[in-house]
Amino acid sequence: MNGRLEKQIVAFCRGGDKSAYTGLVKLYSGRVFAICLGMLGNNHDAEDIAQQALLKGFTHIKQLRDDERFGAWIVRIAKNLCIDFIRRQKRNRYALVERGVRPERESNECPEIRGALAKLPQDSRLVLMLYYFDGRSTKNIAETFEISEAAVQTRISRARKQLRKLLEAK
Amino acid sequence: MENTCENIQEQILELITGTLSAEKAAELHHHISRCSACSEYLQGLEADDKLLGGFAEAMQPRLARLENRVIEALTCEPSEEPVRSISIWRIIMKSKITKVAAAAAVIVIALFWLLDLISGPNMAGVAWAKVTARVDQIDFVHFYELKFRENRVNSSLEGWFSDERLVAKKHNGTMFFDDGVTETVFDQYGQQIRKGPSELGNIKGMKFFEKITQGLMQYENEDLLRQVPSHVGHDFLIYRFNPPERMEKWVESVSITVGINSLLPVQMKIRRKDQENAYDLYIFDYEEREKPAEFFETKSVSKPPQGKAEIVLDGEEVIINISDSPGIDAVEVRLYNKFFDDIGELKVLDLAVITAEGFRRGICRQMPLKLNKENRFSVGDSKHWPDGKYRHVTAKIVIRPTEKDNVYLAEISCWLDLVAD
Repeated sequence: MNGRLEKQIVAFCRGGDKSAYTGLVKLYSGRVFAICLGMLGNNHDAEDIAQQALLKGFTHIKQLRDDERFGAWIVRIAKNLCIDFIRRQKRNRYALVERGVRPERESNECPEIRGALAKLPQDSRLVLMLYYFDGRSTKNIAETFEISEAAVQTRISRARKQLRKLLEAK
Repeated sequence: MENTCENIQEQILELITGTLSAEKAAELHHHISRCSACSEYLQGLEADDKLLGGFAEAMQPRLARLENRVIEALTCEPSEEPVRSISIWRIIMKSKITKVAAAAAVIVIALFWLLDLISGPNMAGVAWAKVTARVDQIDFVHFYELKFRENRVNSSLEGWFSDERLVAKKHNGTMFFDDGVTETVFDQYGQQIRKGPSELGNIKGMKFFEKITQGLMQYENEDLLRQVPSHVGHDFLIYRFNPPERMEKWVESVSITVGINSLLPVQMKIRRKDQENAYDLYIFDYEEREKPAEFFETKSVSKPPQGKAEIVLDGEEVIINISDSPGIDAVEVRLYNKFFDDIGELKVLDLAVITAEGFRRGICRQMPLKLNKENRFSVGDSKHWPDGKYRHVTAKIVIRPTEKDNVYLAEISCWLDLVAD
């Protein structure tokens, strides 16, 4: 979707048009989910926080200053929500352990790769998730992080090396 | 390990992400074919790529669920405005001056509201973009396609689209099943006559409605998105479009009737100019799913048509047998170096198809080679076939280097689309 068209859809959303916002949801859900998965490393939490971020995007759309930059703005919302979530988790961890509740819920989706991804440093996991969930495009990642495509390549390369080591160690 | 290996391995990632030039990729493969360490490194990365790709694939249902949850929540989520207005209201009511001003404003607003009630909502300004946005929320549609020629129905098709799957039945009994990845076609006797990539979606991101409205639902066309109804009825809107440039040769006009409350298309009429008294009519309804989920399951599942063989650069052409592709027997491939004045020497590809009747037809010639990437070619015509019959052939080929110098592995899928009526 080009910038002008995105601007037009954002303008509809500003007027409270929920149906127009579904277009933006479909366009950015992959990127938002990837950010959350990258930062949290847990599918279930990522899904919940991504949902919160996408809904917040609609309720707070009037705060978006540049209508053509919805993508960068929604990513920022998702990141901030993840940071809040991680802080809350740290506070709750002791309480959960004391009550004998497992902090992470089980998932049987691709256990091998999921285990390795969970052990990756957050920034490495983030770049890999964005690459595989947002159209395998280094350009998209460069736009999201506001860095050059060459820098994105370097980050992906580093992340993959770390992932390789983790997988070999298994 | 040679000294250059560290540098080579840095570039292997670019090879996998497909960002390397063909020439550079060939250089890399040349090294990899001789160096076991780099070859092993590449294999490891390819395996990781598969794992990560598989992981992203496994997450797709979760992503779809996320989208649905957000859309569902949006429809029942109250906006923040009322909460904010309560606190503003309290501030206003504290002062006598603002209290009187607010009372006057309430009377004015009520008058405008009454006027609006008498004259009815203004639907004349509803842009087509609103319809496309509404259509995006639809996950089920039942439709008919009726082709009128000389004022009688010449061909008809009934279809159902649900959970991103499509099933359709033509008047002659031909059945189409499309799950968004693969389209399978059966004739009236239940024999599979075609299997190939989905015609529905995932290809170029085209969704069901974009496909069926001949591209009119596309977000990219801003002129169309801004268009307002040419006619506003009591409970419907009619949007009349001039055909997009690529449809100008055969389309006179396109008109779409949209329900005023639902903002969903109920009928589309395509007036044609390539034939006299001809138009195509589509009727849509969005009521309950008349067909059970099993109806959307294809009758048989078989592997996609594929053939594999090694080919030698600058060698003879190779005939590769194609299995499980009705109407196609084999594909002929030749790989060679070609010197171009302005570019220099490039590795290029010739591809021809051999049909079950024994007809040979070139599909591409001197196409510069992209290693490890899917190259897709298709031709559709009648004049270049010996029997003058229309055929549309598509071939996908991936060329991969092997450990041997100048020897490549060709992986091919090829299929024949339905012969036009």
